[in-house]
Amino acid sequence: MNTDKIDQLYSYVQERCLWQFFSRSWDRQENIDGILKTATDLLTGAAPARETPMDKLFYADAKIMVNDFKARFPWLADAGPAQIRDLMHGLKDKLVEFTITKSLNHELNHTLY
Amino acid sequence: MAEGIRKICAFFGIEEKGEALIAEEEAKWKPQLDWYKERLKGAKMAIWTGGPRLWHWTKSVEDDLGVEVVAMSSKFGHQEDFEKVIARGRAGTYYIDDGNELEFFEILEKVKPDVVFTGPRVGELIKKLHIPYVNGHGYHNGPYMGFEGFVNLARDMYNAVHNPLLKLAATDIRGGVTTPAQEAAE
Repeated sequence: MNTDKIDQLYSYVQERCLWQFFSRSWDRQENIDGILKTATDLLTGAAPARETPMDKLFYADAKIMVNDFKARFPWLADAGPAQIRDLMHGLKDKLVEFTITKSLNHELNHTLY
Repeated sequence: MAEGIRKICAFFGIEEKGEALIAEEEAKWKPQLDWYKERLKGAKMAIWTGGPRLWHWTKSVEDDLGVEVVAMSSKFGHQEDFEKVIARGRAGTYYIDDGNELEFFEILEKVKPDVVFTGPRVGELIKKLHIPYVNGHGYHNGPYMGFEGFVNLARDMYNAVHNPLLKLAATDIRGGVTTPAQEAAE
């Protein structure tokens, strides 16, 4: 059940979010970790961190994404905090798999870039 | 456009100001954009301008103008640019890396676009096939930035797609007595 929902979220992120395609492995990982953590906070009603500039960047991207998630996927309103954490965890794994681990972009880990 | 403003305002914690600005701009420009959208819906567009413009424009023209992007090309784009554009573009769209003239002609034959956004050099090739082109580097009647700019883009696209000039230029009014190829050979 969750797999199908994760696929829907993943398709949205692939189509709409540029932060998953930063130039290096490490900054892709940083964005995916930070934005999905903030998005989980927003979806579960926790207060997201907004102290450092990086926190604010993650918040700005996560806020847009979460609003779009809510508008496009009405089933999200019925999901409890535990399911939301599972979904976000699944989404994170899938993003890391396709934009970092299996990425064919040879510039991600190039020493001269 | 609105999304960019929303992100910046979320960063600075001034969301209300952002929403007010978006409402003001949309009241001013949305009716004009919708007028063009009605007339451009389903038009086939090729974006041959290189890296960032491919992934900036493809979703915007799809969302705000109902235009289908059928081919995109980049000469100097990094692998990252192609990751972005392939993830954002439509399935079935052609993505061309560093294409030459023959490859461009081949793609034009396959996708038959209504308009091509590209530079003046490739634009000259396109015009010889009687397909309208819009200068995607210098912008015909730009700028193409922001709410007002997107209306400029829509107007240039509308003028290109609906201008009968290129189709008329393709008609040989001499009644087919002399074919251009024979004439050139003489």
